[in-house]
Amino acid sequence: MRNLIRSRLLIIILLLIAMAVGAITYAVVHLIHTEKIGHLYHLTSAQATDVSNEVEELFKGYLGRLEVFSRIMASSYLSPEQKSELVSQLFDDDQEFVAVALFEGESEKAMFYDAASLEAAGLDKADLINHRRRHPFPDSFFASDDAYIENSTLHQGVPTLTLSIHHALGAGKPPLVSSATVRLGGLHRLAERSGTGGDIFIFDGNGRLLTHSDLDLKDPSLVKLPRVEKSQGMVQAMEYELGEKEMIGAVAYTRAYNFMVGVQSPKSTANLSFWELLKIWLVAALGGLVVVALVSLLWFRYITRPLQKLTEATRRIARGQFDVQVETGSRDEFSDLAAAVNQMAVRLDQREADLKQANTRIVQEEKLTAFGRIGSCIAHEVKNPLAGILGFAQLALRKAGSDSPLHKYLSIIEKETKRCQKIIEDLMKFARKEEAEFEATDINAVIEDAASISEKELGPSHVSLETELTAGLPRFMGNGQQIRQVLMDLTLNARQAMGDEAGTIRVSSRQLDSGQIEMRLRDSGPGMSQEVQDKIFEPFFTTRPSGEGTGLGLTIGSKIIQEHKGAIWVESEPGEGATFVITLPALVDDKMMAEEAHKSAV
Amino acid sequence: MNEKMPVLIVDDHVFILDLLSEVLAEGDFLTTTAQSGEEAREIFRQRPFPLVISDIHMGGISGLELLAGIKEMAPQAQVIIMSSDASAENFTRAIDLGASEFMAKPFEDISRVATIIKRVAEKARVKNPTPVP
Repeated sequence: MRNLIRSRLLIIILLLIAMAVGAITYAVVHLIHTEKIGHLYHLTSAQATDVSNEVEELFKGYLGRLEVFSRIMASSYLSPEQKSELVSQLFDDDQEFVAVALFEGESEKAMFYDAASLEAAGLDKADLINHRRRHPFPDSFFASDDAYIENSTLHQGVPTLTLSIHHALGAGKPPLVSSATVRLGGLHRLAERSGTGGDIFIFDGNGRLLTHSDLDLKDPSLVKLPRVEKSQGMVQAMEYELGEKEMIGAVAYTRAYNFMVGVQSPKSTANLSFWELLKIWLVAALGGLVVVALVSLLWFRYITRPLQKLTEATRRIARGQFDVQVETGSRDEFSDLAAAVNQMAVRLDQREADLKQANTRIVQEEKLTAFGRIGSCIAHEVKNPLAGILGFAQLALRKAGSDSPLHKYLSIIEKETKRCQKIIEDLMKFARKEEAEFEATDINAVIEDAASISEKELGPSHVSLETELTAGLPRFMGNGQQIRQVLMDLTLNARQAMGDEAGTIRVSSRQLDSGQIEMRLRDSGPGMSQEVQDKIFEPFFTTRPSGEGTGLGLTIGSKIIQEHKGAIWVESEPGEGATFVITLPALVDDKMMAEEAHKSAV
Repeated sequence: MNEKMPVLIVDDHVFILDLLSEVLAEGDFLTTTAQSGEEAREIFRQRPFPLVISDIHMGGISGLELLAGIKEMAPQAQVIIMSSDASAENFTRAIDLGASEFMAKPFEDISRVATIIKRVAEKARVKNPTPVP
């Protein structure tokens, strides 16, 4: 698999995000954990308070019924049967009641009890009376208006509490005391509701354990809530050690009846919830990471799309397709790169075109050189036979006399042989490695020279020759005679192309922005097709009727211009005339000299 | 009527020899031909000619070497050099070695060739008042 940049970026980003999320998760969870311990304090305190309130309510209920019993028993309107009937209803209403008794002072006046319950525990009425005898009411009971609650458990199977209230009957009379013995079932049900998994303990006013959430508590030492200053309605939370375990606990005191409710929870409950919490958070974080990864993947694909375009573009360039232009549609480093690639493509395209052109030129030059070499060899061999043919033809002509029928034939032989001779001479001229002497030459002088010689040689004509020269041109390094010959050949060609039509040949000179000197020879002739333009400098190419010219004039001319490191070409449209253009390199910084020369000439 | 002037014509092309012999036959010339420089030199050694017409490129020794040899043997002998290689170099060397004329082949006009040969022959006649029989 290829190691893409976007995968690498993705991995880096995911690692960073994972680290950040991990750190944040840990910090948050730690914070929540700290909070959790505080929460546990609060929870245990609240539970202790709740349970203590419920205990209070429970006993308020018990005492309410005891009050009803007391009223029933004290009533003088009810018959004993009616009283008994009402009390038994009390027992039915509340299953917790085991027995109710009425005392006048210490002496028992009446007692109702749930015989079945007592019997199940192996007890009877005597046991209850005996218990009362053994545990007389304390004086403090009669001194206050509060109810007296004592642990009256006679048998492990039936743990009970006895609640007593008293009513003063008047001075000198012993107070009337009502007692109810209730099972601890109701209390135990309260203790069982351990919401946080913590243990709940309920103690009586003397600090004795009445009940706890775990009935099967085997080790009473586990119930070891630290003692605190007893205060009604107060709740206090604390941390302490129980054996090896760290605990968090709270004690609450009821506002009445002196019950104390303790709640304790191991601190590890909070720790446990810490790991639970961390797990949830980590799952959430992982989910988040997956989402981030997917989004990033799409995003990176978007970001690296220009890179793919650039890759495709460079591949095309490598295949030689330089018409590539990359558009990234963005303004960033990629667009800079794209611009550079586009520029490179344009340059390569240009360079390839230049190379092709240069190559064509080199091939053309080599072709001409080879042609010249072969031509020169042939020319040497052909010249002697030509000398023989021409010589004998001329001798024969002389001997035949002008009235001989042979005269015409011999004249043709002579004429054609002379043409052969001209061709051979041009060929030799072309092939010869002439070391023409180069010197600083004024192009305008050359043009004027050529024009005047042409006019003289060709005589009066219907074609006018005009010059349009720019004064003060820099000179060029070259051979004036050769350039003049080229111009004269071109002039001759133009005149022949124009045939019998009247017209103008205009020769102009000027300097180009590139610094080169340019000559243009423009005729008003019929012009030429692109095909002719392509071949016009090739050897033996001619548009004239056979027998006229050698077809080497322009070939030689183009060779001369090449030797001057210049260029020659033709611009033409059929019917629009033709313009031969020659450019030559100018002598650098020669303009001043040329101007001076021009002035002195004037 | 003058005595016929002996002329040695040297060329490796037989038809050139024939052509020139034909041209010279119209005048008062006694023509001898040779097809190589070596042959011409041998002939000239045996009997010097007042007028020699020679080609340059002939396989063996060149016309210019022959010219040098002739001028050494008989400085008064007139030599016309002809060549199909009418380069400036050949022209200059021929004149430097003492050639009287230089004719480029093919000849432009055979009548002009005859005129040139006759003019040089006049010079030879002056330089060689008593021609060797």
